[in-house]
Formats: sequence, structure tokens, C-alpha cells
Amino acid sequence: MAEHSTASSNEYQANLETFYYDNGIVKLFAMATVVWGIAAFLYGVYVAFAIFMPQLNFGSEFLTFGRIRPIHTNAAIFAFVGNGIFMGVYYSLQRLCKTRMFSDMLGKLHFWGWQLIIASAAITFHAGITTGKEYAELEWPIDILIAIVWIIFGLNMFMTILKRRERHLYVAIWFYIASWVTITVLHVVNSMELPYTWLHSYSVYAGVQDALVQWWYGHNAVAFFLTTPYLGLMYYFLPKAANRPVYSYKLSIIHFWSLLFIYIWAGPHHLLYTSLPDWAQSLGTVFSIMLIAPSWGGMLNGLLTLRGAWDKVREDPILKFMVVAVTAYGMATLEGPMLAVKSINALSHYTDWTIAHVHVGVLGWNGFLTFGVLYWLIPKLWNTKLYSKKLANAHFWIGTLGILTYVIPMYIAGVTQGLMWKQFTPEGVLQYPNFLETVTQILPMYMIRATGGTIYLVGACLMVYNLVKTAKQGSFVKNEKDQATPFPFQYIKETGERQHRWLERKPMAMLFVATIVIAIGGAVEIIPMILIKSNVPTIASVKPYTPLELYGRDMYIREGCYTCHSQMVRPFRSETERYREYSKVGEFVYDHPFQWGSKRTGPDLHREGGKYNNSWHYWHMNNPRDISPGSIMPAFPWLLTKEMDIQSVSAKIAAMMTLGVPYPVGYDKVAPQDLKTQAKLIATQLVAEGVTDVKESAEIIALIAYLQRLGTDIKAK
Amino acid sequence: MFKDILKSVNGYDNWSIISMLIFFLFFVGLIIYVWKLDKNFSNYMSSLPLENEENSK
Repeated sequence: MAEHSTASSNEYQANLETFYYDNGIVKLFAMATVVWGIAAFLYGVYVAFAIFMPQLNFGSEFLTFGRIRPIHTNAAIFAFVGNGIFMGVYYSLQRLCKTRMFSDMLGKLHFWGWQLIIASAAITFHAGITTGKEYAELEWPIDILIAIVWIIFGLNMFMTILKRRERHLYVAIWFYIASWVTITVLHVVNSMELPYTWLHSYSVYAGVQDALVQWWYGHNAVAFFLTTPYLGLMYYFLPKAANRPVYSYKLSIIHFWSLLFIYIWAGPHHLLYTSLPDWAQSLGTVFSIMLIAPSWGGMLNGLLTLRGAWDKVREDPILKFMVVAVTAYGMATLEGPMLAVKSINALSHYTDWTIAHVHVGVLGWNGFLTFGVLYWLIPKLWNTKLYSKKLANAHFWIGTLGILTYVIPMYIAGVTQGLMWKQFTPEGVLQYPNFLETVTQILPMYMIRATGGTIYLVGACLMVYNLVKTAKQGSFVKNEKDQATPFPFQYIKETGERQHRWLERKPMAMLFVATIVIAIGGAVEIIPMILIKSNVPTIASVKPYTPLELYGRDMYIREGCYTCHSQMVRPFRSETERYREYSKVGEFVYDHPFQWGSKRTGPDLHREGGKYNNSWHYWHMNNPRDISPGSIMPAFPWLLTKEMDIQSVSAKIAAMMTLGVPYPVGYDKVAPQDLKTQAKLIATQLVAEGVTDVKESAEIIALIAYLQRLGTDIKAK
Repeated sequence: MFKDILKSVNGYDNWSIISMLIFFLFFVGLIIYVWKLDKNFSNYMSSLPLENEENSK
């Protein structure tokens, strides 16, 4: 027996291969996640102040809330968390596969490509170049770049997995594979757009279909960008930091497959009580509630990994960050399904409650897990100890205080405003008919929130100092040595091997099965919605936009109006009293893209048409506070002087015709003339209403035309 | 309502039952599989991230 084991040990030694892990690429992504993290928090703090101090746009279109808010959200998701994912994947994948990454070159291309995408996003969003679909605002050339870089990442990842020396794929790698394939599918389907210039495009979907595809994407971007890759990181880095194996490997299998199976269905919970068909809404609710089980299974698996090691948590700031991160994951994944219950959603939707919810997720789960991983990883990469444990502890407490100071006022603001919108007097009329009243009521909460965000940012700056000091006192290990034995090409099947172990050995089979599992949910929701005409009852009086209105609509998207205004009157008495007739699905058939919105910092605009006269809009856009004292809407004075780009009108109309909008044949040629005629009419009306110095060719004319058209198609003449 | 949609897709009445069964069986299968999973194997798998540490020491 002893002889036998010596023999096999010698054989093992003989086959042992020496190789080096590439830490260079991990370092690059680690630096990027830190730098972009600070940028995302800075933009966040800026918008948090700008929301109650509209003068902070300094009269510049480039700094206005509607353009900055998408920069903040995209930076947090794709720059901060995105680079965090890649940092964690490049570190853990090499070690779990016992091999260097397949190609250093592909890694570098991935890194610089991703940074180029982020830089182009920042520039185009400041410039107002956007598709107007939340978290997918990037225009078509950047969408193509994303697809290329994503495939480079996937290629590098799969080739690394294929040349691994460890036969079995650890659960973290399944999460990476599933995230990669799902994001690929989501990005391709949701980014289907028809370009009409080299920087502008229209979504190929319209109205309710666009809404469904968008929130199928939006929800699963949360699921498969902010959640599943980070769960992979949790399953790797938490055991590493605690130096003990994950609590239950069996539970992790259930966690993985049930998340994958259920998550993809839950998207429609973002569209409850909207014009989305009821069956799709119910599907979203049911699957959201089912999600509690796997999510909490995962959370418990993470927390129980620390069983018997809680004394360490008291000492170690890394574990503290991770414990709060996993707890925040649990809180957010319980709250999410609750918000997907129709009766709760009726109150919470469009309010700051949603904002609180997502920040528990991003600041708590993603932020704190990233910080924990960084504090663990940077000393390892630089072969040293953390510069200051004390500072890291201080960061932990400051960060926690920041999160609480952020989310608590947002919960209060959300519930307060939601209740005020619905409050009737005993006589049966709205108690707060003026929307502005419900805004000024919660301004103190906005101020506290901005303080909370600032505190969180200060904590992150402490981390930067600590990490830089750590790196300076160590020396960077660019190539880290390790040894392992390659596994024989021919696998001798053990007796009684079951399906899943087979799957764990076969990355391509795993990829295939994962794709099938996520495709089922997407297909069941989206295919009927697109194929079945009866889902979108047409309304004869709904007509395509005039060229001027379409121009105005594109401005509405450009200025990010949808970040604060919805266009969806839900079928509640409190909404029909405030905004009039509830929105019908057939009213949106020419809306490429849809503009239902997800937050009401200002009132809903779907029935805005005809509510005020033209000069009201003119002066309101010039300075909202001249018309509504106390309003927090930014001023858009440049719209009064900026000339319309009439050159683009033919291309816009032609693109719409390609997408099936029924303009008469050849209308794109005469559209610019029609635009001028309608602009002249509006300018004349403005003059009649007492406005002097009206420019017929100013962009404001188009915006007024659009706002006056909104929701008027089904009005009784 | 969902049943109506499925009907109009291909006219099968029992689609909703079949999909319910697929869903149910998927989880039953998953639980049975996990239940029967070899303990040594799951211990081996869960210690995978930690192995590096031992090797490099």
C-alpha cells in the first residue's frame, strides 16, 4: 500500500508543470475599478446635489441632470462594477483552472477596449448622444464595440478554461460562463436599432414591445451584470478571505441553476400597471417572488461559510466588508420581490423607493464586495501586507454610515411622496393636486441623501490612499509561479457518475445548457409579445408624429427628460384625477423608442398635450422657476436660440418608414418643408401670446410641438 | 390570459400543463441530484479555491 502511494507520488512529481499566473492584467482592471469607482461616486454626488439645486448645471447643456444621470448609472454599472468583475475573473479563473490566461494580448485588448467604451460613453452622454433606453443608452457604434470587446473577453475566458489543469469547474466559473452568455444575448436583442446617422439610431421595437424588451434587458442587466458575476466572486473570494471552504457546495449548485432558470423571467415586474398585457405582468410577479428562495439560499451559503469564524469578522475589515455585502445582497433580493407585488408596486413605483432599493444593491452588495476583494487582492499582488488595517476599518464604518445616510432618507422620501400622490380629501378630490407640493415636501430628504453619498465617497477616497500606500511598500509580482499536474486527456469515468459532474467537466456543454435555460424565459415573454397582433390593439385615431414633433421627441430623448418624467398614466383613480385618461397600449405604436420612464421626479407627461399654451412651455423651458416658483427642474435656455438641424429630418423620417411607420410614400423628401410650415405656425402662436424675439428655426419650437402632441390622439374632438 | 396567448400560438391546450411540469421536474431533478451527490466529491469541489494557497506554501 505504502509502495503504491510512493509510486503514484513519483509519477505525480514527474508530470508536475511549472507555470506563471498573469497578475499584470489583474492589476490593470483593479486600477480601473478604483478610478472609475471614484468617478461614478463623484458623478453620483453631483447629480444628488443637482437634483435639488438645478442651478448646478451652470446654464450648460453638457452639465444638465438629464445628461449626467445616465453617466452616473452607466459608470457605476459598467465602469466600476464592470472592471471589478474582470479584475475578479482574471484573478480567480487562472487559479481555479491552474493555468495562465489563454492570451495576454486578448486580455490587453479586452482591457483597453473596455476603457475606450467607457470614455466614449462619458463623451457621448455629455453631448446628449443617447438611445434613451435606460442602462442601454449607448449609441450603435459603441454597441458594436461592446459586442466585439465582449467576444474578446469570452474567447479569452473559454480558451483558458479549455487549457486548464484542473478537471472540474468550480461553481464560480459556472457563474462567469452564465453571465457571459446571458449578457451577450441581452445586449444583442436589446440593441437592435436602425441607424439614421453615424451617431444616431431608432430602436427597431416600438411602444409596448420596446418596453418589454428593454426591461427584460434592464432587469437582467441587474441580474447578470451586477449579481451573478459578483456571486462568482463571492464564491471564490469569501472562502479565500475566511480561509475556509464554502458552507455547502450542494447549495451552491441549487443556487446557480435556480437563479439561472428563474431570473430571466422577472423583467416585466418593472412594468406593473402599465399598458403591458396582464399575463406578462403576472409572469413577472410570480417569478420575482420565486427568486427569494435561491437568492436567500446564496446569501445563507455566503454567511454560513463564516460559521465558527465570526471572531475573525470582528478583527478583519475584509470580512466585515464581505459580510455586509452579502447581507445587502440578501436585503435587496428580498426587497426586489416585495416591490414586484402589484399592491406594493402601486405605491413604490416612480418614487425614490426604487432609488433606495438599487443603492442597497450597488453601494452595499457591489461596492462593499469590491472593496473587500481589493483589500484582500492588492497586498497579494504586491506581495506585502495591507498598509493600514485601521484605515480600512475606518473605511468600513464610514462606508456603512454613508449607505445608511443615503438609503434611509430615500425610503422616507419614496413612501411620503407615493402616499401624497394618492391622498384624497374627504370630499373626493386630490389633496395635493399640485405635483410640485409633493416634491418640495421631500427636498430635505434629497439633501440628506446627497450628504450620505458624499460620506460614501470620502470612505472610498480613504481606500484609494490605503491601497496606493500598500502598493508602494510592496513590489508588484507580475508573474506568479505555481505548479500543477495536467489531467489526462482521456477521462476515466468513475462508477456512478451523474449528469452534473459530467457537465462540470465540459465547459462547452455548460455554456450550451446555460444558454438553453436562459433562452426559455426570454422566448416565452418576448416571442408572443412581438408576434401576436392582439397584444397591441390599434387605435384608428393614433397617427405618426409630424416631422417637427419627431424632431422634438428626439430632443426630449437627447436631454434625458425620461430620467425624471414618465409617459405612462397608470389606471388608478389618483392618476386619472391628476393626469386624466390612463395610457392605452395602442397609443405607443409609433414610439421608437418607448419613453414610459421609470421615475417621476417631475409629473407624468403622457397627457401633457394641450394642458398649457405654447408660451407657457416657452417660458417654462427658459426658466422653470419663472412659471413654477420652487420647481427643481433645470433651465434649458439654450433651446430658445439653438438652431434646428433640418438636414437630418429626411433621414429620420426615412428610418421611421423603414421601421414600418406609415408615412405616405416619398414623405421623407417633403418632410423638411412640412416641418418649417408647422414651426412657422407655432412661432406665430407664440408671438400672438406675447412672446417677442421668437426664432422659427429654434429647437424650442420642435419641443413645444412634441409636448403639445403628447397623449392627444385619443382625445374626443 | 396566458393560456389564450399560448393557444393562439399553436392551438395546444395543454402547453401550460407541460411547461408547469418541465419547471417542476427541473427542480425535483436538481434536488434529487444534489441529495445524492457524493460527499467526498462535494468536499473536494468546495476546497478548490483554497488549494492554491496550500500549493504555493
